[in-house]
Amino acid sequence: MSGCNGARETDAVAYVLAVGVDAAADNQLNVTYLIAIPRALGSGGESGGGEKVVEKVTVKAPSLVEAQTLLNASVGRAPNLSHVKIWVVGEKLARQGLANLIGPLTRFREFRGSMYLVVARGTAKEFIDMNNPELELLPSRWAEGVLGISSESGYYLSSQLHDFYVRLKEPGGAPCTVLAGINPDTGKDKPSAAPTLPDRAPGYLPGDIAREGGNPAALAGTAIFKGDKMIGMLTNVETRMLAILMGNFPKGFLTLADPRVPEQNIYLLMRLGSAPKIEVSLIDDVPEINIEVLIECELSSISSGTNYEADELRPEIEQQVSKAISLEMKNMLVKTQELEADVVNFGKYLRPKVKNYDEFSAIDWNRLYPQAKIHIKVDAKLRRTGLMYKTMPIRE
Amino acid sequence: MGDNIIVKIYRYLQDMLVYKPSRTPPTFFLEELPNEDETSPITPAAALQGSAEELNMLLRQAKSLQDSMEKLTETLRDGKISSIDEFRAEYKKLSQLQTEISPARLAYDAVSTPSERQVSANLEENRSIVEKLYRLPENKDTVIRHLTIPLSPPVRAMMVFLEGMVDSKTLILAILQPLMLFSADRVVNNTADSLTDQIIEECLPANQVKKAVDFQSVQNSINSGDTALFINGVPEAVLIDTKGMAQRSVGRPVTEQTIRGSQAAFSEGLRINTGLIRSTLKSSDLVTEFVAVGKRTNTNCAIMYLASVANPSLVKEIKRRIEGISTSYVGDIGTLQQFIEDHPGILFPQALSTERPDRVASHLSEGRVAFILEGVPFAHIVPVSFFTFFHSAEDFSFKGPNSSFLRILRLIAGFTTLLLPSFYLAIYYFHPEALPTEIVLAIAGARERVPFPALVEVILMEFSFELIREGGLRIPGVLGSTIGIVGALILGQAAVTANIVSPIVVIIIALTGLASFAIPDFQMAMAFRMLRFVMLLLAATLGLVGVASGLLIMVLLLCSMKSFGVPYMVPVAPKAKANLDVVIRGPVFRQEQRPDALNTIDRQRQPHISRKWMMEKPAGEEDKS
Repeated sequence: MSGCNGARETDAVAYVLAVGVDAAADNQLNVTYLIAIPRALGSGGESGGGEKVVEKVTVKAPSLVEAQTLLNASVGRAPNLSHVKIWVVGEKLARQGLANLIGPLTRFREFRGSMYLVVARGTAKEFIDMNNPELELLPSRWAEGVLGISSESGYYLSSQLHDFYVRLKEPGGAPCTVLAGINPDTGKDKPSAAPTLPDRAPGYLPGDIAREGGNPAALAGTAIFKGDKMIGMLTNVETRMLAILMGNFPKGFLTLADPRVPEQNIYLLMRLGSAPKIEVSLIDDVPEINIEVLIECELSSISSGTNYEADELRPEIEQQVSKAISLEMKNMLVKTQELEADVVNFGKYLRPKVKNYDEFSAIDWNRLYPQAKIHIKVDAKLRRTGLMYKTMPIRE
Repeated sequence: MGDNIIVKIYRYLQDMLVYKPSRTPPTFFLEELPNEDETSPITPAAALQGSAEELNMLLRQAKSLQDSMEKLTETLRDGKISSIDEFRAEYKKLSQLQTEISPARLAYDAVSTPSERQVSANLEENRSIVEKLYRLPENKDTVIRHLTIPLSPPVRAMMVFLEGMVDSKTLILAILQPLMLFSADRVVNNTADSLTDQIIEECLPANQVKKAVDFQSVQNSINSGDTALFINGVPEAVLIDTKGMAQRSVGRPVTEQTIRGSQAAFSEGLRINTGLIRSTLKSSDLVTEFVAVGKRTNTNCAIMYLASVANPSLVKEIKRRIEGISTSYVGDIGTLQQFIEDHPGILFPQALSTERPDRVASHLSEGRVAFILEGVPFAHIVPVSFFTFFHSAEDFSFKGPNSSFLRILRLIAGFTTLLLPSFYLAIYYFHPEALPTEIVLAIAGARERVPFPALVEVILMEFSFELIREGGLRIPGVLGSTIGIVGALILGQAAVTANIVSPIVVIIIALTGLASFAIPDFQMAMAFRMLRFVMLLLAATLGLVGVASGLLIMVLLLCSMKSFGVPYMVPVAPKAKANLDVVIRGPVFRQEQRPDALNTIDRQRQPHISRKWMMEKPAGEEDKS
């Protein structure tokens, strides 16, 4: 309700902070609501003593709206979804298709396009249950924080509901969301992909990173959709390549094998020098994609002590970076071609080549994409050397 | 023999239980007087009153005639005739009396009220009129002093003044002494055409003296502290300025305090106030006109303007409006303002009320008109625009950027006063998604223990705040400052602790109250305070749509208003040439034009290059580096 009758006192409203949706038997949904308890949050600072700040309720219902109505029966306050920060969808439901979920979301007044959409490995209920941030008082704040700083590493891309919806309805390109998971906190390493040398970092899916302690909930990688159905996952390293290609990569650390002393590492802070230059052309229904990427690096550590800052040695580092990036990028693109999902949305670069929208829709880009020939050129430049301009060897 | 205890108790019980008639005095109640509108039937007594008065007047004439004749006879008998001139003077007096007893004039005088009467040549007649006018002998303030002016022959005279309104030293030294002691040497020719003229010119060393022939002006002068002198045989009164009522001296401004600029404030004396303005704005162009307000009191109202700048039709219009008021008594300039302003029903003030002569002077120099009422330490300046109320007297004492910052701050304060509580309610009730989640939950958490709806909570706090403000104003000086602290702190804290209001509402009301004090003009602050409640209700019922509609209506109202022929929102709507003196205050040397909307005679305030020294060589060596 809105308008004159829409006035609500805060004590008549239950503010929902996160919603998890899972597939249940009989074509039903398990909807988990994370509801804030305002009593514990008011009157400044008193709530530090471990008082419960959120309540979790799971309702089984045939639809989202029905679930909300059923929730009302037990909560005693009208659930208000305008402050939902994060929508978590279970992997099973995502693979079944999200069309029926996203449609109502974008139409209903209380939903906002700026809510984050996340696909959880396992069930959404488990993710919401296990999510227990230590630094933040509220899980909603955690979601805002963790998705807001995605640009710090590029290991996951923040995905808002609106973006997902737009990608879903566009003729070319495939939608994607952040991938979430629960880390068992056992410290066991379960990489999904071996490192692509010279990059040292193995590819992980969320929950597989060796870690002990901290919030079990973790975000990494990307869930790839074809249409409204999830068809695959990208690891964190692959997601970083996706970020570079989408021009959304402000910075991230890179661990490389030392070109001269292969058993040693060098560490670099890299960022996108300019928006990637992507050229797509269509020759006899075979797309050809030319990618030019400029990466700028800053040295943060050279463990071997080799003087890579020197003019004559600098190209070695630059080549090493360029090699690592182009290899990883190629792997990622091959994977998406195999999945037949154009996550980067190369299709949009074809738009200037056609006259109108109908012509563009007629191309059927998603069918052509798997056959595309992709040429990658990565240009790496070492711009800064950190706070040292020369490394001296250790004297014995 | 003393009563025993049983009897005492018996008496006591009897006193308590047995009915006794009340010992209170008989009650007084105010009788209703017959309504003036109902024409009372002419009673025989009323019909005869005129004739009786006529006969009385004839009797007084006859008596004075008799006196003159007797005196003349006596003089003749004693053979003390010094000159024919004395006879001539006496003859002149008698013939003057003769003219007054014409049947037509008698009949007219008999039925007219005392204040409509003309000054008579007969001293007794004048005395009788004065006695009627001032309700003598009950009224002890009015003093009638008889004296004889030692001319040849001696002339009887009478002085009338109000005790307390005159300066007795002036009275003695400037009137009584010259008249009674020195007039014989001066006024030699008693038979000259006008005795009063001669006396005014020769024997009255008072600074302002004028003549009057009707009792209306005699009365007005006496009421304002002058002394009226009646001379036997002359149908004129001499009005001598002897004003000397107790007056407050020039003090410091109380409601418009500033850090920089002049520190003088108006006081109750009209002449002191006009003098203060004139001493600030020393120009021979500065005109002070007087208009009397109030049919019963004739309170003086001074209208001041710069004749070479102010638009003449504006001056004419203000005079027309003030002269067009027909009322018994106007005691305050605020009352007068409501009588003459264009929209008395709209809350926004349409004249700038100030107690600072420097502020009046600066507005007069821009081409506005000021009016001051006798006995009120405030001047009103018209016409004004909305933005004038957000200026302060010292804006031009600071550098431009500082003043601009303060002016913007005041405007923000105005809108905070008007809108903060309503924004809170609108967002709280209808648009919680507009706030960050943490704040929504903090508000919700704080309100969790409060049983009232937010509207009740806000109104409760607003009400207490207004109570503190009004109470603080009425409380005697010493306690005034205490009540603010006690009221605001203790009440707010206690209300939160008792879970009657939530802390956020206390913050909002405190901010709102603080902001309302930042509006420099009290009347404007009052208008915003009142409108705030309207906005509050709109916000609670219609949300942001309500607030927006309220604002829209307010803007419409402001744009439709005029203050003495000048649109209220000028120079914004309608767009007029602004002088960098609306919200942003530009440098003083760039204020070249007078306000466009005032249509002044002389538009140029200063030439394009007002700092001529910049074009000249410096006094010393020029720095070549």
